[in-house]
Amino acid sequence: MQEKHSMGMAAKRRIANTFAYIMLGIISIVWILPFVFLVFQSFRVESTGVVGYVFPHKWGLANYVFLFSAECNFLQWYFNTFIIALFVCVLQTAMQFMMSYTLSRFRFKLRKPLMNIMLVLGMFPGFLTMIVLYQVLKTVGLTGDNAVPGLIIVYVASSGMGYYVSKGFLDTLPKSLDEAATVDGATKLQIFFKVILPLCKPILIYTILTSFMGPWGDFIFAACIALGSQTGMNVAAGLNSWLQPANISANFTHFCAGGVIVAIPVMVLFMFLQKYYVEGVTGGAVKG
Amino acid sequence: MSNKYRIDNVAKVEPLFNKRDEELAALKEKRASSSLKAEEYVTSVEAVKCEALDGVIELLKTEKHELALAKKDLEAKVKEIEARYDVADKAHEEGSMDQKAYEAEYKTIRNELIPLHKELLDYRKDLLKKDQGIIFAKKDKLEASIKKIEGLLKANKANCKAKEIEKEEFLARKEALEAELKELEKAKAEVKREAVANEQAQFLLMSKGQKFGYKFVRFFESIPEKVGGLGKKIAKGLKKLVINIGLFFKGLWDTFIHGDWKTKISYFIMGFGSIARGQWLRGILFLLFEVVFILYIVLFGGHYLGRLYILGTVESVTGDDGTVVYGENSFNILLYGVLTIFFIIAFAYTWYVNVKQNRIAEQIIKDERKLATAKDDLRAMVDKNFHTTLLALPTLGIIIFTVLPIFFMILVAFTTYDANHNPPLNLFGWAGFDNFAQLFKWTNSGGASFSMTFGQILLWTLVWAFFATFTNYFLGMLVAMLINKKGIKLKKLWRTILVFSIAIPQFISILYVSKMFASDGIINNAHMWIQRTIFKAADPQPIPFWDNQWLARITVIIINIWIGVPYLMLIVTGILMNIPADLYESANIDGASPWQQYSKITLPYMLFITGPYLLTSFTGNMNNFNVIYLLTGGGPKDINMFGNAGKTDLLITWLFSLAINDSNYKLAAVIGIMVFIVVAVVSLVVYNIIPSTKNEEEFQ
Amino acid sequence: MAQVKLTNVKKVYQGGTVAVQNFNLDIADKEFIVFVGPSGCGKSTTLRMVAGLEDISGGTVEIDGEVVNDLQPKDRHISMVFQNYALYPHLTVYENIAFPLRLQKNPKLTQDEIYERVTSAAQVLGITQYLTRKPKALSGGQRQRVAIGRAMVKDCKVFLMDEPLSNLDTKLRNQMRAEIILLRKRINTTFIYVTHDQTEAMTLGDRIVCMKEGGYVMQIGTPSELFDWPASKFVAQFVGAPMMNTIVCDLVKEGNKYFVTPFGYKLPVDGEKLELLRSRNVEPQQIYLGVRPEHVTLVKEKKANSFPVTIEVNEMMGSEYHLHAATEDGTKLIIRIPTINLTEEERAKMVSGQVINIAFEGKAMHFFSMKTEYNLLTDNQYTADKEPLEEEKPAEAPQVAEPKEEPAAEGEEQEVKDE
Repeated sequence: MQEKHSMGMAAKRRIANTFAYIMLGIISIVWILPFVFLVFQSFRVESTGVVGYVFPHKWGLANYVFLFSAECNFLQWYFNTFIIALFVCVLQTAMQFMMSYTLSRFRFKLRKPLMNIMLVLGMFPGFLTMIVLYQVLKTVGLTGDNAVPGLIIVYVASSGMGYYVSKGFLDTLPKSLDEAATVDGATKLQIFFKVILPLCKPILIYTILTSFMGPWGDFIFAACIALGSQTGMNVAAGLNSWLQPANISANFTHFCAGGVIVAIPVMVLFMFLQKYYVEGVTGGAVKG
Repeated sequence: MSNKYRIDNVAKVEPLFNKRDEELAALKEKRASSSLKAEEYVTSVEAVKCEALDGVIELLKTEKHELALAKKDLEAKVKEIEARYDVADKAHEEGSMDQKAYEAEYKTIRNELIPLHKELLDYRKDLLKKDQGIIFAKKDKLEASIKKIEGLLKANKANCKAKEIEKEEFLARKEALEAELKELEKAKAEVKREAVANEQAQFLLMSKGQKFGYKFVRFFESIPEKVGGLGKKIAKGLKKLVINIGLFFKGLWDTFIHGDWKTKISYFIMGFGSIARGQWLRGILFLLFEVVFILYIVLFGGHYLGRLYILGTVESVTGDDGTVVYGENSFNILLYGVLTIFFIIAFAYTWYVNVKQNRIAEQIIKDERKLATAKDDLRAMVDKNFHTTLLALPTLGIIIFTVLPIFFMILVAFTTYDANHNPPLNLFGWAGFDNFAQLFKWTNSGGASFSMTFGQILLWTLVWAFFATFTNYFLGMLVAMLINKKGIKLKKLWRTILVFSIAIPQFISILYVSKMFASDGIINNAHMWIQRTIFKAADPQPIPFWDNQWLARITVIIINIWIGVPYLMLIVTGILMNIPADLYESANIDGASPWQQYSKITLPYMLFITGPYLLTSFTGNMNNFNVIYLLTGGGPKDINMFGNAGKTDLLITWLFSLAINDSNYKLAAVIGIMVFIVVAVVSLVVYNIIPSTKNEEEFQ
Repeated sequence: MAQVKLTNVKKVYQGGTVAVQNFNLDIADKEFIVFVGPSGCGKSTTLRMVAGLEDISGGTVEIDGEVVNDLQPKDRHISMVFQNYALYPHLTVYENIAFPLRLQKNPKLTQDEIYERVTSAAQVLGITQYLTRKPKALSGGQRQRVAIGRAMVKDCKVFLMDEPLSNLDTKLRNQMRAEIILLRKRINTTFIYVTHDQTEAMTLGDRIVCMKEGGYVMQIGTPSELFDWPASKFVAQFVGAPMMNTIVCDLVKEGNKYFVTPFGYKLPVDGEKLELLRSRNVEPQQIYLGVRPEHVTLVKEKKANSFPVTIEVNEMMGSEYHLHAATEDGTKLIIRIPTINLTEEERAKMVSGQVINIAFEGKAMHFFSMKTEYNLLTDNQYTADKEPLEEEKPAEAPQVAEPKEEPAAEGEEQEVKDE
């Protein structure tokens, strides 16, 4: 016992740290590998289906060339998604911020009921509404080929319900700022724009980032609203259609290449704004 | 009645009251036969009451006296025992008693004292009750006396002045009594505090097992109290609601009756009052809304509202040549009917606001203050009512795109809307609770029963949510702690590698990973290569990741770890940094092992902070559509299950496939409602258990 | 530059808790008023009602003769300094101070004029070199100055300060306190200052409003009035440090003379206090005898009207000793003795366990009624403000049509819970 003790803290720690490094190495490999495989597959040109090996027998850019050729709608999908993401990130951020700002900074009679109602509404599965929304949008003519504006409306309209994270952030800004501004003679509008909004940069960037990323990943609403149209789909729905049993053998490598092209801009954006994302996620969870 | 005065000896008090009642009855008869004047009647009645109350007070006093005597005895006994403290102290000081015996003696004395203290408390409570009873009785007597004097005053005007003085004196006495009562309340609070302290002392002296038992018993003891409290709350709330509704209509009526002609006209032509009083902006808005509403009802909504009860009767007819003559569309009737109902509610509210505006405006004019002009209204929109301005758009969006559809789908659960009743070609109608009844029908002649499948899927949904939440939680915590471990370098790199996987749109990674686990995917290929080359297996079989139900379930949970851990790592890292370092330092000094530090500091802190997050993540996982749908699509499918459900289907994915593949909207709606109920119940229960009750004002 | 008048001002929160009971106060032009009291006494709430940050539940607030109950804060012509400074983090010091000026739609306030005012305020406060910094880069004291500067540049009738010094450390606080006195001379307007620190209150205030938990005003008066003639035991103990000793004893009247009986001794009352007791014809009764630690004198030899105490703890404060001592019957006393009056030998004796003789100075004794805790020798006009306890539950009030059994029934409930 004494012997072991004299072996020293340093040695003990070294063993523990070596073990930790090995663990972290394994974890990193497990988390990275699928993406590496995906990239490899996107360069495979000898066949287009699912195969059981990692390294292509023949490397080439044929899959990428296919994506940008006229015979495929990928560019259209990409463009659709980009437009949707652009509108959604602006409008959704605005809606969410209006909601969370109001709930955080004002005390009015209907505040608690409103929050409770939204809590209850949030407990209903979102798909329930889709059946109705599809029919409504169809009557207005915003489905199929015109799915893009329809999707924007669907994404944006109810986004006030996702106010939690920004409200958590706003709650941490001291109330005396508002009060000081009130005494200084600012109207509520001026407080909003001149005092609070400039302080909300981190959370605004977080909201913009998440709402911009949302449309790239959502395929279920997109597939439903764009039902039956090749040009109305977004990237996710389009790529997903390539993996349906009927198409997979002809399109698996195309899917991989498309995945890479979709992932790159989102990833670049994400890496730049990582700090804000981490802050938002952490803050959101702690505040519940 | 006797209870009000806290009399224990009911037998003695009964004759008193009986006598009183008899006399009162006699008086009443006399009055009825009009041999008694009204004033005389009152004075006699009150005199009788006074007499009875005198008896009650006497009784109470004797009872109180008896109690006081008993209490005195007890107090003497307590003092006697307490004297032993001094004896022990002395012996200890002199050294004739060692530390251990001394402590033991103290403990025995304490243990002996506790029940006595309790008894003493009971006595004090009883005494307080008697005091209260006496005060109530005295008060009632005073009131009766005052009434009596009033009666006398009326009867005999001459003697007026003297009686007046007497009355004043009585009133003063009443005040004094009230003050006394207040004192009593204070004493009561004191006793209550003492009772709590006593209980605590008792608790501290218990052994561990006793403590557990005590807590256990207390928990169950407290249930009826809690339930009772809830019941009382509900009853109170209901009462308040009824009163408020009454007041609401009374207010409307009063405003109409007492209002001027402008207000009265506003009841029919909205905004009239406002326009007439110069507040033209809001007036015109009210008026416009009314016009739009009437036009909507007349031209559009009224028709659908009228058909809502039957959802259409005119069938579509397909001609021989394939052309279809469309009849009524049940879907549209239901949808626009609901929309119209919403519109009517909005109109009713606006109408009420319009009436209220009139009431307020009249008051302002009466007070000679200034009415808000149109300019003021506009300015208020960005200042005083800025919150309304901000909320208008988001709330409207939620009402139209969430509330309305959900309301609609709830109604669909009560219809026959499915593949065979699919508008516009077919009609559907109301079905009452038939769809819900299917949840309780265990057998189904036409194949797999809905209820059995529902039960299985619900169970799997809960199991999945549990594992998905907690595997992620603990593994995420582990990874975060690994990265944040002292002495680990390149922290940022490790973190970035994990965050990297968040940045890639989920559908790409999940779809690709699902193909990796397919029978011809990379994993199985590697597996077969290993089997062939290392184990020399002749005919290696692929592992049926997606075809065996158990394997599929385990695989989705494992892949979900891969998906979810990076998020958890981020969250946990943030919280880990916030744990005060001195907690660990003091634990280190106290000699806690790393495991103890984790289990006694990190984990409790973490659970406390992330309690609400765990809850939302649990309910979120219950509805985790993406992972299941993209990985397995619900499969492996099972023909023994209803509606083509699979072994990894969650309620939410099953709902989806029922609605999209089978067009079975009615059952999809039923499942949706059930999902809501399950989520709500889980949330409610967990929310009441977790300790981190959020106080949102705390941070400001 | 205005009078402020609060008439029956009241604050009741939703749910019925009363934060401020009937509050009446006339503040003269250019007066410096301090609200002091322990936390939760409603002093800040009162200030915020004057500022318009809190709705007024009852009564009126007048500034310069105008009722401002329904006016927005910006229309009340007030400036306010907040406890946590409330500086706008995204603006520089200059922009922070200029903020209220820029919001005014006053054509006279040109860019130059604003520059002029901001820089001169910065000059006064000694923060000129920080004008381009953000608040984050400033120390606590500097931030406080910026906050004061922001309040200063506005033309205001009333200057409100809500615990402006409580976030600073002791040394800085003393320094800023002196600066506020200077500032006051310079600005020369009406001040309302909220603090929980009695030293601040005593040094700054022309008059002090002493408040107690639950929103009761206990006394309004000049610092020396509060110190010499505390209206109640509460005020007596709140003002002055260390706290005043209060001893339970009897006030005895023998013929024309009054005596008090602390720890079984019988001390005569003399001087002004005796005159007052006589003229008011105070009944003999149980009282709290109040003696400030500095009014306990050390007696070298045991003689009449002195009594021995045992020292338990001796706190050496430098210029004085704070002795915690116990009398023969176990009553604890605090005694404050200037070091300068003691010889070296006597100082050596001031240790735990030593017995010393003390006496009370007759003119510095205070008598508080045992029952009401009010001073027997002052007119307690504030007692009138004390509302009966029932008032605290206005939420219950509207339900008038309750059956008469109600109190009994409620009592019953409590009984059930008790058992």
